[in-house]
Amino acid sequence: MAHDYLGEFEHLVLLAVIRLDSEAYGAPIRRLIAERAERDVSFGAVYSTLRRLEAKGYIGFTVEPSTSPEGGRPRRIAHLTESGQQAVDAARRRLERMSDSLSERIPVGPN
Amino acid sequence: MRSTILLLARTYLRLCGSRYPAEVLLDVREELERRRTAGLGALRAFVWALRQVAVVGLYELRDWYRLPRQVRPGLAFALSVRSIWRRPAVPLVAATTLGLGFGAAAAIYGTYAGFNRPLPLPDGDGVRWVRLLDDRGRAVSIDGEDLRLVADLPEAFDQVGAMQTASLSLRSRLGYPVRVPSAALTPELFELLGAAPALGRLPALGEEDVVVLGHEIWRDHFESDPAVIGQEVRVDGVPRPIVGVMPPGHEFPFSERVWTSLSPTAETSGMEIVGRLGAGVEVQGVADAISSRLHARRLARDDTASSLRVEVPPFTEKRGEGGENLILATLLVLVVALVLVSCSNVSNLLLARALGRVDLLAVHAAIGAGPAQVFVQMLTEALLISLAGAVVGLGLSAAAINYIQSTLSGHWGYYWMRVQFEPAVVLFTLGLAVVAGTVAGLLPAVRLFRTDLSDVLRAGSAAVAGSGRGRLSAGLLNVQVAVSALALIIASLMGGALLRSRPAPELRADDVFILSVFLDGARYEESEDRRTFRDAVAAGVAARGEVSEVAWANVVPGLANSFERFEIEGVDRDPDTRPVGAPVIVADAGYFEIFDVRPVAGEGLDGFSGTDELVAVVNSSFVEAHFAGRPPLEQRLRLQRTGNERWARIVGVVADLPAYRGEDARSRARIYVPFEAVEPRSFHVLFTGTDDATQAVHAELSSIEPDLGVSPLFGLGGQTRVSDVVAFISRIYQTGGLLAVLGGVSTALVALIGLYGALAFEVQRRLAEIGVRKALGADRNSVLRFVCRTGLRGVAPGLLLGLLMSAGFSPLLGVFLGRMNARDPFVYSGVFLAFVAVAAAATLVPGMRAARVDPVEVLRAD
Repeated sequence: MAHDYLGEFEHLVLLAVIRLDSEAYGAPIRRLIAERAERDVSFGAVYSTLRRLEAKGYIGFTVEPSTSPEGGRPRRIAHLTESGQQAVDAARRRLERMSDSLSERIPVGPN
Repeated sequence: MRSTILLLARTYLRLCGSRYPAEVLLDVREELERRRTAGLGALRAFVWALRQVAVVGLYELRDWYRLPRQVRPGLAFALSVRSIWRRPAVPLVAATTLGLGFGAAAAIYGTYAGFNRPLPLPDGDGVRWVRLLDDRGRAVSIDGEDLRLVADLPEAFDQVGAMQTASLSLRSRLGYPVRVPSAALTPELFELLGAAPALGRLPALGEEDVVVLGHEIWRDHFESDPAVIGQEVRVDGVPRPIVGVMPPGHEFPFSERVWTSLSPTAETSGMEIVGRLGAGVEVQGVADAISSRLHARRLARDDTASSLRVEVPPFTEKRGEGGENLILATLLVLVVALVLVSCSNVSNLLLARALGRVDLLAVHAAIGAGPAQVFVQMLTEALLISLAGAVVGLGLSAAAINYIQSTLSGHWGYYWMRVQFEPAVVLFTLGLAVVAGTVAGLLPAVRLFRTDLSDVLRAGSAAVAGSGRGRLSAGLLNVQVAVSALALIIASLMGGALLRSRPAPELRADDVFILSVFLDGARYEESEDRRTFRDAVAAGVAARGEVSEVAWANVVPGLANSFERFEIEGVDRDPDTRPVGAPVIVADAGYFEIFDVRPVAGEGLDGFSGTDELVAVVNSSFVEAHFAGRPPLEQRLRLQRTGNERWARIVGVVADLPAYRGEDARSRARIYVPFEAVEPRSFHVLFTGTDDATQAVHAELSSIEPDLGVSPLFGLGGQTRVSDVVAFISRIYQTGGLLAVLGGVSTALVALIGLYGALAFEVQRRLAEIGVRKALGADRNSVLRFVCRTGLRGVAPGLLLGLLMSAGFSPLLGVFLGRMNARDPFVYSGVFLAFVAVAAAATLVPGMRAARVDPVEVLRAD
């Protein structure tokens, strides 16, 4: 299924959106990827990918009022759509199938 | 500072195509604060944030151009910054070139925006006025009955009122009355404007004879005393209560300082109707309805009444502006066009620069950067250079705009006109910079995109330069030359006007004071009464020690004199030529004494009172311009206005009294008529004496006429000298001249760089041809001549076009040219020669490089 294909970075961003849930906007997504995937990406790459994922129909946005006590601008929060969930699921299964029974042949890193 | 940076960042993002710039900035700020808390230094954090914003914009551009996802704008940004940092010469020249253009464009845009502001009132855009014109385009007076007819129109105005402007005499706490510009407004108009007073209240419906003070009058003449509310002030001799003080800056309708209430009757004429249209009302429909109503009323009184043309423009429009908007809009279009054309120069410079390091780019390509990555990098470099140019341009325009406002604000007369460095100017400049950067970057980016960079590793830069320059580039260069020639001619003309408008050194200006008097009202209907008043003032002033000399005149040297038509007895005028005119100055003998005007022949201005015959004295330039060798004495002139079509006998000739340098005989020509023969109602008292002289004359005037408001011409308090008048008038030429000279020189510089870049590229492209020429026996000089000739021939059409455009456009500059002839042959030929010289200089460097070409090397490399 060609349209389910996810680039690596797209995959990371989708996973970050799932993990962050109601906090899924630019800065936390970028931070999460930096911390967990150890990739210091620019905001530009994050926004561009979010835009592309939205165009593919994998994510949608809802506008949430600011949570800051001083008030402020409302935020656009990303959330996974149904086809987004399918795409993540398909990607995960593809990875599992590819790495199935290869665990003893892949050298284990320090962590 | 912080808000400016945020505004710049938001504008940049928006221009790059971001739909949510505010969100990006919030995110960057959030991360920035985390990093600062984690101990990152302020400068490094700022640079990090700047880079993030820049890269977000580049990603937006990448997506906009639909470039492959493999393109990494962050990398392109880093490489561009490094490339500019390592070889800054060309980027510096390019940024300066663009910066000059951006600066000129932003200054003109700022001035244009300043001239075309809405009324500074709540919903000032919605206020409109009714403009009534007859079939010959002349303004028609509006009276109280007209107002009633307009106000009764169904479905036209939500609110409508009327106003009348005049000047009135106000007796302030300083002890003497001053003459101030004032407006009488109907209560409906006060309400419609929605302006709240700073103190007190506005006149209520049906309340007459009350006064509202402007903030400046209250401050300067009533010591900012809040207790003035409820007190009485003498206005034109009648005590009236002050009910309110308006906030600073409120000068509605034009530049008024005091307001009274207006209760129009059918006899009240000379009004202007102002209103707010109802929601969804069509303007033309209202204009037609007003036209038919008012025309029907006039027809009922006089069946020959001409038809009326009615317009209902926004309040600030059609205010008799002298074509400034047309000039500014034309200049703006020209400068923006020039900036965009100069992008081709920057393109050429960048391309030539890219050729110098094309092997490096080829190595990049060889290790995996696709052509799209090189494309983005070239575009990024151009954008960065252009944005640096925008910073230069913003600095220049801020200085220019502040200079324009500080020197010229007094000349406009409409209080809403305010030229200032504002966010719109910043947005305009950044927008222009992003467009210019993209345009300038596209050509080199596309060239390299289409080049197979692996060829470059084999063939060197020839693989890129091989593709030819089209007619488009040659056309652009010519457009640029044409615009530059136009700008240089305008600059020279305005520079000439600047030199000629400097005060003449022989004019006594520093110690002659002026007060302006207007003898209003029925008391001064007869000229004998005015004469009596003047004699009393003269006698009183003579008795005081502060004043040493006094003169009376209807004009001040240096202020524009209105020309009056005249006829010389026995000289038939060709009816097809324009009627001759000269300023007629009504002055007494003291005027010649105070300004030391020497008699040349005949008599002066004294001793002619009481005779029925009108006499005149003319100056030497008048004799030179209009008598051509004939003796002027005892000749007669028919003066249309001052003389009321009577004949005046010339009794004397005096020397010229020049106010400015550079006046020719025709513009220096003057006719003087004795003050006693006319006794005008409005005149100036000119006097010398101690620093208290102005106070003394004020006191003397008010001791004879307690409510006579006099004004010192500029400002409402203080004193005015003739030198202030001359400086005030000179300033308009100085500002226009200075800006034009700067603009002209910078456009010429832009063109010079363009010519150089184009020729440098051309020489690079035709190296092989030059090599063949040399191999066939051409020596260095002939190659040099060949290149110079090619360059000059290439720009000749543009130069001719520029000269023709100038001849058409410069007469439109009108007042800015002062005493310069818009088609001065010296200026035109000078600019032509200068341009040829500059173009020759620009061709020299590439020409010399071509002359040094070694044919063997070139042919071998090919």
